[in-house]
Amino acid sequence: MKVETLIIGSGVAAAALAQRLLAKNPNASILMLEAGRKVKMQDAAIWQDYVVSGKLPYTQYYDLPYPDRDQPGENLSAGTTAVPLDGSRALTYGGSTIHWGGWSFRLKPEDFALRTNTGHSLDWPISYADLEPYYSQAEHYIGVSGDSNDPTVPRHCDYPFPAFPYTLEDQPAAEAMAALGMAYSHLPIARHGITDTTSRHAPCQTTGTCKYCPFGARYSANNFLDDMQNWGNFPGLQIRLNSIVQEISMRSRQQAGGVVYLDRETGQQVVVEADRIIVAAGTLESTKLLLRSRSDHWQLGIGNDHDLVGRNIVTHPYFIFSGSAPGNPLKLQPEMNFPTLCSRHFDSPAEQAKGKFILINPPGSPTVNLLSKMQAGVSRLDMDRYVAGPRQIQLHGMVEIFSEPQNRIANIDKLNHLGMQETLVDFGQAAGFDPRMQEIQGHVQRLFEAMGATMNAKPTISWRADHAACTLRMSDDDSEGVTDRHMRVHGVDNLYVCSNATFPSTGAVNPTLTLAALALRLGDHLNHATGQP
Amino acid sequence: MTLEQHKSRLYPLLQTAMELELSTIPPYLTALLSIKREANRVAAGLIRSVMMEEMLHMVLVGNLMSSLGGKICLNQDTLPSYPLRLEFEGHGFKDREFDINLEAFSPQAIQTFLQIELPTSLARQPQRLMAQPKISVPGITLGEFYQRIIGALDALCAAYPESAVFNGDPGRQISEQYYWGGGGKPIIITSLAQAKAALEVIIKQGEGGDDSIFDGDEHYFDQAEEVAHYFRFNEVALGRRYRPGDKPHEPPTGEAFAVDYQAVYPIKRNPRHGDYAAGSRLATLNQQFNRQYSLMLSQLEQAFNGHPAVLYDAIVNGMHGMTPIAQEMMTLPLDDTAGASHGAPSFEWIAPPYQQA
Repeated sequence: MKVETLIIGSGVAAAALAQRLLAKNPNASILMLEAGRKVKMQDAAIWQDYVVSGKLPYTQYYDLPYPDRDQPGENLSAGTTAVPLDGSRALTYGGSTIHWGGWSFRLKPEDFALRTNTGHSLDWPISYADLEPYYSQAEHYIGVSGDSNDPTVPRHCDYPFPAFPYTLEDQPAAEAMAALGMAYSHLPIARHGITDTTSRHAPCQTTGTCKYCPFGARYSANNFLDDMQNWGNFPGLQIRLNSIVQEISMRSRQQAGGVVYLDRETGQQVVVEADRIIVAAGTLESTKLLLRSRSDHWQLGIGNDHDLVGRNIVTHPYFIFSGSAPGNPLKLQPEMNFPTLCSRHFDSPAEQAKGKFILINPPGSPTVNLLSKMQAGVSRLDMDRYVAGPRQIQLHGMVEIFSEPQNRIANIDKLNHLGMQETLVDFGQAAGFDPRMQEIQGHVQRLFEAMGATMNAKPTISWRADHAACTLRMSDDDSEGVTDRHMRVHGVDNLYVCSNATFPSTGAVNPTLTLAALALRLGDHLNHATGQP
Repeated sequence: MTLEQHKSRLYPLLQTAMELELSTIPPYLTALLSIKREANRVAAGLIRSVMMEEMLHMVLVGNLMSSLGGKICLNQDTLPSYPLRLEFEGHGFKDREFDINLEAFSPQAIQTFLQIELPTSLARQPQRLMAQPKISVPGITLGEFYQRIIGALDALCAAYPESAVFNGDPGRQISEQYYWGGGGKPIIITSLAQAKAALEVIIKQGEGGDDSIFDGDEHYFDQAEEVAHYFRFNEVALGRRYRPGDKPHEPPTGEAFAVDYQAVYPIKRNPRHGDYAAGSRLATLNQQFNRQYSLMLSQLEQAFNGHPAVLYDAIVNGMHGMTPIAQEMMTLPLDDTAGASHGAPSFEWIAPPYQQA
């Protein structure tokens, strides 16, 4: 088999890139190889099952937990800080967009100059201004609802959909932030709203079942890819599922020739030749694929002459502060089941050297479970008393951490339950992390006080690998980065990586919108390179 | 005659309009799904876009009925049955004197679709494709039919205040919150002008504007100019897109596209449930499809009659589930003989459980 463009993976990066290539040339020859299978979406029975039992149809495609004494598990956590993989990604058609929350933040201009500003990690080889037009395009592509007047980042183009309104439940946090002079704003979220133009993608109906949207209102790459296959006139687009790419083969040191993949259905190894290859398989798999593609041309793995591939991994520690307020006179209850208020007040140049952070007012902080109370036969009067009684308060957030070369990922010579090579994660939190969390706690403490709430002693912190990044960083200097400013692997003419792995740093925000913007930018770059208008 | 009596004379017209719009969807869906994947994507997209607009027309008619305080019926008695010849006041429509079939994507099917959507301005002579109508008394044309609705509304509003004519609760109509992406957005009707705007959309999307191939709905929907239904099917028939400047009486001069009538499942024309051997996979699937189709129509009936949120159930339970069943049916031959026809849904009624006595 021979194709022009081979894309490994089928998540947001692959979908946005393919969309951009096909927009210019509907006949482009593109093969997408996805290791995972298809999960049925927008299905009434699965949705009802989820509503009733909480069961989601894609969790079987999560990594298993690390081995412990009770279960064999998979993957290996070798460092001093465990970065859990289970639940952090979905190994399926559509990638992790199948389960993501849709939070769609842009990085801020100062994030692109992290080393210049702070001495940490690397600068991006491109600026915010370079990426800004693509941020707008990405917001329109994935369908973000947001506040176009939010001054947090400069923008030249409005969001396609207006922000979801703040809920009544946001009120205490909003008032506390206002009283303390902390800026807050609407959380931009990739959920379609009502539009004047016709759209195949339904507007959010706020059913509160975002983990399995019955309408496909939240961006999910598989819905978009299905749409391209079913209704796009793209004769050269092929998507193969159950196809685990084992290695990239090199024609010469500068030329990738194709890949070998395992067809999980037939058990056969299949060779594909390609004019160019884009690895868009998420941070972990993209990195591991380069590492295990060893040949005489690249003895340590492709792009790894400087021993950078897989190093410098970061993720976002996600913290949850809890507390309690004595009463709930407004009888606040969760409304949307997704957050609508965030604060990027500390996502600022002043905080950059210490590690920027954002705060999220989560939905559902009151923990009165009306359903279980009703099931327990609690009377209306008692129910009212519960609802108006003491209330739990939470504030969530995430904080930027900086790359360190000793933090790394690699392949393990063992297959996971899906037949893919397992992952070694060797990570240790930096010495400065705990003091930084102390500072953050101080800020949150003030907010809790302003809300009339008492904080529980310590936050819970999850290091889960949802936002794993920076293992194949972009840099103009090949001794510092694996990829160049167009995400091309240094030293190879026709091999690109389109993944969070190429981020030189991640700021304090979710990476997906930035990745979508980079994918659209790469699409333009490749269209230009092949002489497409 | 009281206002209510006047209105009750108008209701049957709107009910017929609903049935007219609904009746086109099974044939369009059948032709669309008979096309094998990866072939005929342009043609498939065009058929689908027309079908979606017919769904919008149902919503617009439903809203008009609701705005007047009337009720829509979608049940066993109003279900279209194929081959279909629609009647109004005991007569066939003058411009629908031919059978509409459930059949595979083919030149004949496209010819029928062209006849269904034929603009009045192009209908110079009576076009008779198929059999003669059973009843020879000439009926009215579709254009005249919709004009009669507009005329009746005008008369009502001349005699009574608009607020009394359109006294239905607008909250019971279907808004964009419940209907998206299907060929435009619904119009909530509380005035004569809005009622006419809704009917105008139905007429123009179907026929095109006077002496224009375009459907003229871009002002309503802020969308790119689209050619009207007849011309979209003509694009399929001729394998070429229209472009701005093209005239209704002349062939399209835009980009050519491939149409492959071979890349189609050879499905049985106008299938009935009895065509499928008892206990066969096709019988099971057809049963499943019809159950879902009937339930969906009942849900649409509820949605049109004041419970718009039920449209969610119609979409998620019904529409989303019907396509994969139909697609599987179309891959299965009726029997083992060489060249046997394939299955297709029969679109027959199975009373939803809650309606069964």
